[in-house]
Amino acid sequence: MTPEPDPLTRDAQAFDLLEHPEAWPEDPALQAELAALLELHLALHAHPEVGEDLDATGPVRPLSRSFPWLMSAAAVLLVAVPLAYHAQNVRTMAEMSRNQARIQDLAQKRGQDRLWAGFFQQSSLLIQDFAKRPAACTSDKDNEDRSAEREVAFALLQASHKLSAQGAPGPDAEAVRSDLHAWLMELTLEDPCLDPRRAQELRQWANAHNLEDEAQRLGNLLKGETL
Amino acid sequence: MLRALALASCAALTAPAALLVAPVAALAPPAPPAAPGDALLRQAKALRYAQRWFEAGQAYRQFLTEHPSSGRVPEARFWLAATLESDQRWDEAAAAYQAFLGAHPDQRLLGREAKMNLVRCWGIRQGQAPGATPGLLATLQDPIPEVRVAAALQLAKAGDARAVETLKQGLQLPGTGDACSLALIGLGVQTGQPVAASQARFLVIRIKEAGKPDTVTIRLALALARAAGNYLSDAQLKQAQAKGFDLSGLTDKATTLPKGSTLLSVDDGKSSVAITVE
Repeated sequence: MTPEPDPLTRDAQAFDLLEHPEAWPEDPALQAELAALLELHLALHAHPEVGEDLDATGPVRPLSRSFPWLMSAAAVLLVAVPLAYHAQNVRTMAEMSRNQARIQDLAQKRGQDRLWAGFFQQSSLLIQDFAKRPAACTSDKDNEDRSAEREVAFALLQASHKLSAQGAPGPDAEAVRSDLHAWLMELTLEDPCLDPRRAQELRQWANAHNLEDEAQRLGNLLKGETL
Repeated sequence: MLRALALASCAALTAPAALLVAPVAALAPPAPPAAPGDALLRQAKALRYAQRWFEAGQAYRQFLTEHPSSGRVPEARFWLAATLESDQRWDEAAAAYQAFLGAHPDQRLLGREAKMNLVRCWGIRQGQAPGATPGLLATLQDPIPEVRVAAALQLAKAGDARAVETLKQGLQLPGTGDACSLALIGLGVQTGQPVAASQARFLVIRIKEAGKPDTVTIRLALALARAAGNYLSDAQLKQAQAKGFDLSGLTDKATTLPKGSTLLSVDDGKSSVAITVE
């Protein structure tokens, strides 16, 4: 069993090989690499002062002999620096992507909350208006002219359908929307010239479910800054 | 004989009172005679108002069985379906709405409402009831645009991209634009007119949050410009209004201004937002 040669001996053998092109392997790729190294080696020989500066601070070892180490370090740097840059870049991109997704989600929620808040506030106003004494119908003086409220109720009913399709900001919002929806549907499907007894029934229904206060409360809650 | 006498004496006793009220009664229109089954419908409505859905449904069913030729059958059918819906019996409600629509295609207002409610029932049952998603997809062809949009919104809620084209059409409808733009963004769709890249325009929203090193950039197609306000806080919206900036006219403004123009820049201390046309 032959002992393992020390690194200096191995370097010396390698440089010997570098200086004898006739002993180089047949592989053209290897030959090209060795030629490049030889060129560098010769260039360093042409500037011995570089080696002297280095020799002054450490043990005697010509620069040409430590060159493979430098080459390895350079190679490591060549690989490591782009990799580190890439990793940092990936981290930054991931962070930006997370921020963007968070802002998109918040904007979606903000938009949804504003639509719901608008619905609740307008519904609350409609119920307030419905509690007021209206003008009598022109065709039938005994009945109440609720055509304006009925139009608003129809528009709000359509809005309620869309909100239902979008999903609610919370279970209580959905419960109140559902109650309001039923009330709005009753009013929309009534005759615009409304029998006072029927109007009274609708008012009682709204009161029994506390629709006005609930709609106002949720409208204010959702209109508050959510971000 | 005795009975005839008794009736005659009663008539004599009530005659003066009848004379007294006669002028008032003559002014009031005669009360319409109660149609058969009216009492049952009134009872059903009272049960509905009391949120006793099951009993209300039974009352409507009884009315439909006992008075199949009544003029109030469409109304009863509709409210039966609505009662089932309120009772969260979605599949039964959907079937009842379909029965109503099939039997009474001439009912305009009730018909439209029935379609919208049917869409809601199907929307809730997407992925659970076999007929729900096909029903919603078929509704995308409904002649009423709002009904089509409602179906598309329900599909979008389940992440179904087949809703996209209808949602894009909904952007142009009054009252549905906001919901459609939110749904489209939720589906990750950027809508834009098929124009040359040199002519394509986007709203670019740059958001710099306090304490964060990076600026987040959001690109919105002009068709979704109405959603730009969602990226502004209430305080920023107020700032924009104070500057006389009208968010509802954003699309028009973005179309006319040259590319690179800054439309709005606001800062509420928590974040600064700049909107440009690019």
